[in-house]
Amino acid sequence: MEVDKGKGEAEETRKVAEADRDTVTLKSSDGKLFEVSKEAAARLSTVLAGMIAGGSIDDNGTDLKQIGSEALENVVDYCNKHANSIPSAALISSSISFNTAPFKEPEEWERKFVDRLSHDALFDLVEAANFLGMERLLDVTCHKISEMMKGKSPDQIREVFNIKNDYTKEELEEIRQELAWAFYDD
Amino acid sequence: MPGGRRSRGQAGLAVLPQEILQDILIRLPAKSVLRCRAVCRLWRRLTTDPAFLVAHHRSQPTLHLVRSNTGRGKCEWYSIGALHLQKAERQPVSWPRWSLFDASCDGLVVIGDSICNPATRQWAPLSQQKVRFENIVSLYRHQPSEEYRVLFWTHSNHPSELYCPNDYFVHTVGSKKPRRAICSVTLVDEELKLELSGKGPDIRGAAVHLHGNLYIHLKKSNVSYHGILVFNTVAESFRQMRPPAVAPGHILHLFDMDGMLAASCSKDAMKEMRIFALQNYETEVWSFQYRIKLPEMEIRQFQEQGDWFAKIVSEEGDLLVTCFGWILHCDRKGNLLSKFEYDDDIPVAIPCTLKESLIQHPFFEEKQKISPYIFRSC
Repeated sequence: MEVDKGKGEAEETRKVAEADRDTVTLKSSDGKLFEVSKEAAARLSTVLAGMIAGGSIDDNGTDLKQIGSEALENVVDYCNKHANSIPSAALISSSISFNTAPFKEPEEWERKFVDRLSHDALFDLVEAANFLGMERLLDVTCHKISEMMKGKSPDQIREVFNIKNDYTKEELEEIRQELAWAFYDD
Repeated sequence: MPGGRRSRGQAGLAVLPQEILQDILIRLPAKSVLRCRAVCRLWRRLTTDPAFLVAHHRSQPTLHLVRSNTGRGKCEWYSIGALHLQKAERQPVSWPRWSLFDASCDGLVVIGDSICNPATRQWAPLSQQKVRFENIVSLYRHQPSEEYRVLFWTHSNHPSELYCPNDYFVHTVGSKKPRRAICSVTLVDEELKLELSGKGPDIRGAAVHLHGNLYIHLKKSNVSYHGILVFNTVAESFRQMRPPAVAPGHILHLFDMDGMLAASCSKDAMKEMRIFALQNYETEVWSFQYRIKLPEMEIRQFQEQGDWFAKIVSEEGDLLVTCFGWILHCDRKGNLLSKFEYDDDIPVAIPCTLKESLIQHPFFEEKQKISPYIFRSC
């Protein structure tokens, strides 16, 4: 009995140690803690990979002062989902032809992942991905934002993205005349 | 949100770092990029930056072009449509009406005696004078001068030039007159000499642009003869190259296979193709790469009778199959990937491709007296 108990305890300790090794804790600018798979974090973010390799990961939560809790939650969510996702069959088969494709198309789950975000959350996420050196997430978020611009008039783009028109009336008229055809839909 | 970030609120995209903004804008098609120039000064600056324009051009998809007849009777006209094969969809591109397509390079297109950019709708004559550009082989960028030049040929009037009966010319876009490019290679074997008579061979398909050379496929109708003429775009000189050892009567087609000159060879371009690649440019040794078996049963569902014609259109060996009223896209493993229906019995897959470009060129700077409505969306 004694032996068995000892074995059980050892297993407990080993499990805890393993859990320690498997995840890292990240702390948002507003002090919230998030846990993320260490493997996924290191694979998806060059900045986190550098911190893990350099031993600058804090067990009580690594400070990421640039990133708010909502964006960090999305980053962590993305990493965890990515860790669980297997590349789809479509992606494997399409890699045979057109390996020169300029940008990789997002996968179905990535598309859904960014589709549910509000504009503000999306813009915060693109910044967080940039800050953390997450190439793939940056690709997916930039793709989503560019999709939102396609087919829109300059007025609509300014409205959706909250951009101030700093052209004078005359300048704008000049641009419109030069590119009149580009402002009509086919 | 105590201690948190300010809400983005009014800031929107305006506070994003400029490199991210460029990373977003670069993913837009050319027309959307032009619209974005009217959004604000920053966006105009970002989208007119020469480095951005080069990167934007490079990231554009390769569009495959198909010519078909649209309309009926008196209202019949040619239209050229673009296919985006990765997305399996048609892409709107505008061309000057009635135009036939001669050559393309870096998003520029030669149509008859003019050069145009379908993405910006800019247009300019090839020459400042009236010149007849008969058989255009290719448009290329002359690396040392960065000029765009056109290579074209005419049948020679000199019967003594039996060995090289074509006259070749080089013309710099926007200059006055073309100049003769001397081609002193012996193009035909002695035994073929008589059969070929005085006229030179024709040029098949689009020249393949690789390593500063244009690889030109020569073929003579009704005679079993294949030849490859190589034009060095820097020195602007010619040499001859041995084609792969295939039956002279077979259908040969040159293409770029991941930076290597390759040739597809087939008896009838319907059932099977063998792919060869030139692995050693000095010894001119071609080696067999792979075989493509076309999905005959599936193609028969689109065309019950008669012949179809298959041709390799990508570096990876993707094929376009021309059937009655259809263009089918297959991969090299013989999987049918997508299909495009046409109003025309025989749509034609044009050998040129197009990658849209917003890069500025000096020859477009002079204002042309032509209104942009001649560009019609197909």
